[in-house]
Amino acid sequence: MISYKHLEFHPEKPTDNNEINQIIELVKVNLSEPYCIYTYRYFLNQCPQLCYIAYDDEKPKGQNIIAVSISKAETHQGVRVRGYLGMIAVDPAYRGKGIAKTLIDKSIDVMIDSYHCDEIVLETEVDNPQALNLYESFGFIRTRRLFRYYLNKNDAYRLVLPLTEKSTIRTYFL
Amino acid sequence: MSRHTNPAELNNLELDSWVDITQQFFETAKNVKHGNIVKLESLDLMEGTDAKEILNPALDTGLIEDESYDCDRDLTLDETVRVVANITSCLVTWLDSSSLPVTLFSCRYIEEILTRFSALLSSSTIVEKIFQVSNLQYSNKLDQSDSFTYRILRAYLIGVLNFTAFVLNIPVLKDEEDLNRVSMDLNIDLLLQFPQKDVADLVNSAYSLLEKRDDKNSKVLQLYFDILKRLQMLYPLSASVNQGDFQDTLFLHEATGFIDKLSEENDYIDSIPQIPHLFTRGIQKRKNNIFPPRPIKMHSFTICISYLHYLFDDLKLAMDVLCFQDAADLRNRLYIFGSKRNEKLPDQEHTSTHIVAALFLESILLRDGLILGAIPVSEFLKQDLSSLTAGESVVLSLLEDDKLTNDRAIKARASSLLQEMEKTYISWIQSFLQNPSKQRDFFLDSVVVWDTIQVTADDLETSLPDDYGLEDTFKSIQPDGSLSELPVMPLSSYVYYMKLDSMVQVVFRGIELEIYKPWEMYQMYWYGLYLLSTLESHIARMKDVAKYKLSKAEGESKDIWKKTLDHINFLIQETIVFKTLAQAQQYTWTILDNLKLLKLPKYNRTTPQLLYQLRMKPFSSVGIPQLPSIQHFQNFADEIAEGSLRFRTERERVQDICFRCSSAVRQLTTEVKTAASQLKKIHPSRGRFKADYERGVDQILRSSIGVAVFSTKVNKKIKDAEFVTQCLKENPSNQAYDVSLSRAQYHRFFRLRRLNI
Repeated sequence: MISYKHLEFHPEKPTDNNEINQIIELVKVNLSEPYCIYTYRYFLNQCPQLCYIAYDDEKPKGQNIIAVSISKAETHQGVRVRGYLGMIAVDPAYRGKGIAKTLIDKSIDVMIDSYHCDEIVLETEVDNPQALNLYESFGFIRTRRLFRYYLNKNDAYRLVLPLTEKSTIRTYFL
Repeated sequence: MSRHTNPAELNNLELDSWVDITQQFFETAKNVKHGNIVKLESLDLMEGTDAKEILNPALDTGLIEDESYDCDRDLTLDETVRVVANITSCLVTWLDSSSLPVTLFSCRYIEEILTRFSALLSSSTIVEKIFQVSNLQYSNKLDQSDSFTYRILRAYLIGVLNFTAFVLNIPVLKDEEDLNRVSMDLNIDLLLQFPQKDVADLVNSAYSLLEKRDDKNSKVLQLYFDILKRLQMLYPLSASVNQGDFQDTLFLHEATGFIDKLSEENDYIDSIPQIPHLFTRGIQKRKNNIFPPRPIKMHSFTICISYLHYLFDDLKLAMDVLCFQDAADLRNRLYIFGSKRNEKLPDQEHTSTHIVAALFLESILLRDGLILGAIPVSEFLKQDLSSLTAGESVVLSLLEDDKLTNDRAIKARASSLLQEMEKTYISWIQSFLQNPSKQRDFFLDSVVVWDTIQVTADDLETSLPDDYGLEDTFKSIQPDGSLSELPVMPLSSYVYYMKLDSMVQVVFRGIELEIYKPWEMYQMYWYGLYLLSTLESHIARMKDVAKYKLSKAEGESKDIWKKTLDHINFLIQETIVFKTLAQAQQYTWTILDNLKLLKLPKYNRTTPQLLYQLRMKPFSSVGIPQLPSIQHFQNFADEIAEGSLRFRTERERVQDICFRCSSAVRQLTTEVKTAASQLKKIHPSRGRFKADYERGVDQILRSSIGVAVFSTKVNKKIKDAEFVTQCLKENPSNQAYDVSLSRAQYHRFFRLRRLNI
């Protein structure tokens, strides 16, 4: 049984470090870019609602996080609210079960309902067809190819999902 | 203060005014619970995301295992070859978007040399001394040993570092992804301060030693030196303002010959073992480093050879571009330079010309804001205007010729307009010298700029007849057969041409960069076709102007307009070829769309309207040509379908649409063949540029044949009623029909769709 919930974060009490460590480990093993602790803290503190976690309820606590999506939402250039899907990692043993799809779906819901995002943006490696197909199945389209974007020298595509008219109007005219 | 702060800096810190808070910091830190974030309200956690996390192996360079290497150990001849081969591989790998610390600087000898140089910098007297090559101090052994191997190594390392410094100091701005400049506080620029003659003498003297020997090692080393010496020949050229200097590319051809000979030594070089701990990640730990640990990057010998060819081939191309005749010729040469792709290199299909060639070309072409360091851009822009829309129109003389007008207001307006045009023209030249992704970005940005300039140009030129009595008209036959007198408006016409061309480039380079998914291709070819048709109409107008002016011109003026007309004839023919093939492509996508083979996003969270608007965002603010709405596209698609309404069943209707489209594709691809053959004949360049251009036209023809073959195959398939019925099912349960894009051997703007059935 797989369950989903977003990260609980209360500024007045310490975060559950066990969960944070599991998330960090999952991302570290499954994504090519190295991120420092502040990168995780930045996302998790900023928008805990947008850190969606998938649990395998049959596994013991402390080892039960099997997938995570880490995102944020903020005003972009003072004119539109932009959601940003930062990282998605799924334990290889749980791939092909639609978990990433569910995490993206839930993140998009929160970005629309709670943050009223005008668009959602992300970058992904050009030679990761699985990730590209997944995002593009939600309607994300490639807007730019970013030359040698990653530390491993791979190019990236910037993908954008327009949610309101604002996303389709040049910033200058907003 | 960093752990690398040296004693001299410490003395300058005026420590008396500093307060030691170490104890207080630790006391306060005791109260922080593990897992809590402590930060000032004014600080954003974003600022911490670049921090390097201690004890995280992916981020902490302090965890790199430091392996010692004795820079004074004796080297055998084989080992010397190994070092030289590795250094050369590191050099080409650095120029392939890697950083210095993971390539050249990973060599202990290089680190040693640069560390000593950097340390000596603090003493001016010693700096003066080390400028004398005889006193170069980089390693006790390297410096003092008279051994043959160290004399060779000394010269090669200094030569390569000198070239590295040369590249780093080419006065052109390039993004970090193109050329990594991280130097870890090692002052490589110092290498540039050696008199070039001294470095050349050092290299030549080592070369003379090698020439006297007959052993295999020396022969191989000689080849490496031969290549290095050809790179050094770029230095004086980079300072030249004499266009004639760029005609002599013999040294580049020689380099190619040496690279070929070197490639024959593959087995020998591969057989030499690596020297333990000579190339390590240790420098990332020892020197000032703000990046996470990274593995050493060094291309294999075979790939190194390919990259050396890539470098010298593109340098030849850059030199050839610099030998342009005039603005129109430069335009043609830049398009060839900017279109070159290196599909033969691994994972490089989206890489354009070699970075050194692009840097070299830009630094000379646009030196000090002047074309070739000598011709004001404004003059050159006028040449370009003349070759496209202005011939020898009066507007070109508006600023200088007081007989036309001495009105300061109009001269100021014209001057301001030309300045804006100049800036955008320079940016347009630079766009061809970027990587393919950046090229598209440059064109994308220029669309809005040209659009804005067009408004100013329109205002200026429409006011000239009434306000200043400056009339410039031509007569043209209208579609209804009447003869109309129309204003020439050469500036506005030029700007409009540049804008339309940029828009076309954005759309079609998007196809090259695989920006569009198959389900978007129908729309994009439709829009691309719309732009090409608009461009064709505009060039036709330019042609009418040139023809009319030519008919009225006399003497020298006749020659100018004749040249303009020839140039326009070429442009119109090229546009026709592209437009015809784009139309054929569009029909194939119509077929796939009607067969419902273009899979739309499965879990779509947005609307087709918003997706269309986002895709067309770069063009949304353009005044003319106005962006057609998604409804226009739908109407177009419906119009094609309308011809098949008489059929009883959906299957029959779709079959008929597909048959008609397929027939159109056959007709259009035949037209492409005829038009392309005509295009080859009238391409104005000579020599390699004509040959390179013809290769591009051949790719268009290959794409055209591919489209025709695809259409024939689909046509056969469509006759199968069961196939069409299966395609039209609402939710086809099977995934048997899949549309993907294939790029191999086809023109980059006309990738072929592959239908896996």
